[in-house]
Amino acid sequence: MNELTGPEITMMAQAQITPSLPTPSAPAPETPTAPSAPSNGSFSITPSLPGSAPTPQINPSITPQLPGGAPSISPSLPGSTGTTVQPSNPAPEPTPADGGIGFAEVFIAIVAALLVALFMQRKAGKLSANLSAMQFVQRNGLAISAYLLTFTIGWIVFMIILPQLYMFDFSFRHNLLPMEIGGPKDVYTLKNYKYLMFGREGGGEMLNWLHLAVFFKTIIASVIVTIINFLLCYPLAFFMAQMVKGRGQRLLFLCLLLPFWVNEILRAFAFKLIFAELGLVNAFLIGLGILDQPYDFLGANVALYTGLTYAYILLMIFPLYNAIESLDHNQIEAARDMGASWLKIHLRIVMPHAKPGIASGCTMVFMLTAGALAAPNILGGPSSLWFTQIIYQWYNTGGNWPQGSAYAFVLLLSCIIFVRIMMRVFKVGLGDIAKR
Amino acid sequence: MSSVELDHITIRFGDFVAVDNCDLTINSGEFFSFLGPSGCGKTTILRAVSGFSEPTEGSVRIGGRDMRGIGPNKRPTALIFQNLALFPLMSVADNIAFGLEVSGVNFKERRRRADELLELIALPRQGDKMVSELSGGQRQRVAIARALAVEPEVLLLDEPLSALDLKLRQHMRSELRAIQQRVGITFIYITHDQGEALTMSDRIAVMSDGIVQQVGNGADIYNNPSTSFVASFVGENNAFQGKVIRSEDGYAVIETSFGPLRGINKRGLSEGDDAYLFIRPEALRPFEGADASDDTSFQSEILKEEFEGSFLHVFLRSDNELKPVKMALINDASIARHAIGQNFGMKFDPNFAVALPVGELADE
Repeated sequence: MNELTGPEITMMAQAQITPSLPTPSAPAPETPTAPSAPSNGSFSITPSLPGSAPTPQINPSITPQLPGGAPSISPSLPGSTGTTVQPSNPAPEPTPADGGIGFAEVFIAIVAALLVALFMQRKAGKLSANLSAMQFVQRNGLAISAYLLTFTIGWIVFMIILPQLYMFDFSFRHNLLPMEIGGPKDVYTLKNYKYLMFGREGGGEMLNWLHLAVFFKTIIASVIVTIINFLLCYPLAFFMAQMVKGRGQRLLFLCLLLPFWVNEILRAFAFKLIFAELGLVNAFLIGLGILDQPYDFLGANVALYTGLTYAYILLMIFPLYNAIESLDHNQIEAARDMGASWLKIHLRIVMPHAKPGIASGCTMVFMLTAGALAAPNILGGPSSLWFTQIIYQWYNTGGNWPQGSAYAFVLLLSCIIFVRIMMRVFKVGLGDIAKR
Repeated sequence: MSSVELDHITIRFGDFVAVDNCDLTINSGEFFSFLGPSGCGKTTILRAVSGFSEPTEGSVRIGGRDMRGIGPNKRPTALIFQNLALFPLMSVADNIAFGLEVSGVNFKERRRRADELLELIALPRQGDKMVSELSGGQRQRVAIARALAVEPEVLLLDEPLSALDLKLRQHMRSELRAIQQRVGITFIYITHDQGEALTMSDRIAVMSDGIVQQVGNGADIYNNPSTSFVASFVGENNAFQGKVIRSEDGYAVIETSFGPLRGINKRGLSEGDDAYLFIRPEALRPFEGADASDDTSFQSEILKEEFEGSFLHVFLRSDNELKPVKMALINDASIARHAIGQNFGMKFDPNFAVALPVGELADE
């Protein structure tokens, strides 16, 4: 099956390149149907995907753009402007029209080549790998082996690699009308990234402060939420892992899990009710005489941070619990016997041991908090904006998918870089995290 | 250096009595062992001394100071765990100096102390290694050094040799003893291995089911056991059950399934009492003219033999057909192996046979 993935990736890379071909505006003959097509951004994804099966159902007019379909239409084109392409030769020739940037193609080609090279190297370097592949088939039978491999590779390719590559490619495109896709205007551009940095061209501002501020606020707030989460979960995880056993432990786990059987959005609304002007917290504080009048917890984003902290608490507790649970209790007692205070025991014995779990939990919580949408949407105050909300707006109300993709990609990349830096600082390996 | 007094200690876990009214004093500078099978409560006593648990009744005094309410980090004791519990993420030197580190001793001084202790445990210049790079015996010594670094008045050892193989264990015994004599502090040693207890200890407390059966030095416990448990647990021993038929001149004669047999009567057994007679294998020798009516010899048919290196086990026919009497004999040249079904006679010196009241025997 290894041989299969190589060609698949190259095929995919080719597919990514095809749109930039100055194909003589394919949808032209069917122009009457084009306006009737929905003009939102979602429509524009379909054309450039080579194997997207559902596209014909949406709009048959796209099919001509598929590499295989090209030859059949081209004769019917009346006045094809630009360079002529041999209909019999569907091989893509990267000839970017009017100075469009070709480096995305180059990037994808390099990635694909690297992946192919990697597989080739694996195969050539390790004969034993082939042997173990044969053993794998022998052990599991052909049907089950094929099933396992198809779904594993399918998962990796269709759920992980393709969407990310697709988003990456999309972020370098102009936001075009459906009929312009594949046309002369469909070239690569950096404008989506430029917009995040510098705002509208000729907008007068030096930098796009509005969006950059939201971006940094999102990152910093996510860090704070992660830290709060850790401070809350560490004692709890330690208690469950080292102090209680049996029934009490099971009961605690149940208490932790139960609230998460409720939908995330409903939980966010529950927080909204709790922190509302006439909600539980205000009623309680006024009842105690601490407050004279209701405090606007929602406006002050207290509800937002509480909701965000709570939303991913399990993803912090479980890695911590697993890590701390594997610590030999004698080590704690030995340290205590040696005269260590509780603080010293945690700093010198428990935390170093649990470091991979801490890193794993913090990474998950940070990533998911930075990418959260439901909680900020429901619990955010009027003045607050989460970066994901801007992305959402680009995609949804803004109808500018390439712009949204660029924003999303920046967020993803920044988060990964940030996490890697943190891991370097705390000397944690990627393998340690994956183990938890 | 401090003595440890266990003043009528009882430790209960719910209804279970782990330690029952243990009252003894461990002298300053003594190597004292608690010997007993697993589950006899010896580790529970150790935890009460170290401060990880408190006695339900009674009190622990170290150097005359009542330890009630004083945590393990504040007691002048150091504990060596069964699995050693070295810190795997720290270097050997950091392990040894951990106790100093948490009490705020500066780095240079810590390093100096660690080097000193590495010298003491014969591992010089190994301080920068990780614990995982050391062998079992070396780890053992690092654990001892780590415990000694905090300069405890009492060192507590919870079966620290049990994870080692036989040869290393025997070597570590003498090493432990030597270290104890060099540092001169009180050692309290927990073990189920009588060999360890007998070779290293000044005094031994033999425990069973939470009760201290006997306290004494090795020879005392071996030669003059005061209960049937001690007699059967410490060393090989042969038990003959029966009723006392005569008690005279410090001896008791017991009617067993091999006829009357005589032994020393230190527990004041009188006629009609149920009793055991214990005869050590080394006190038994083969005897052709054995006579059932003689109370220092006996004979019976051999049903089975098992060879076990230094010992030869023979199973003799007794009154109870289903339950032959198992006997351990020294496997020396004088005892040739006997054929199954042969008649087998033995003689013994009654001064090396001990008559004791019937009680619990150690499990085989």
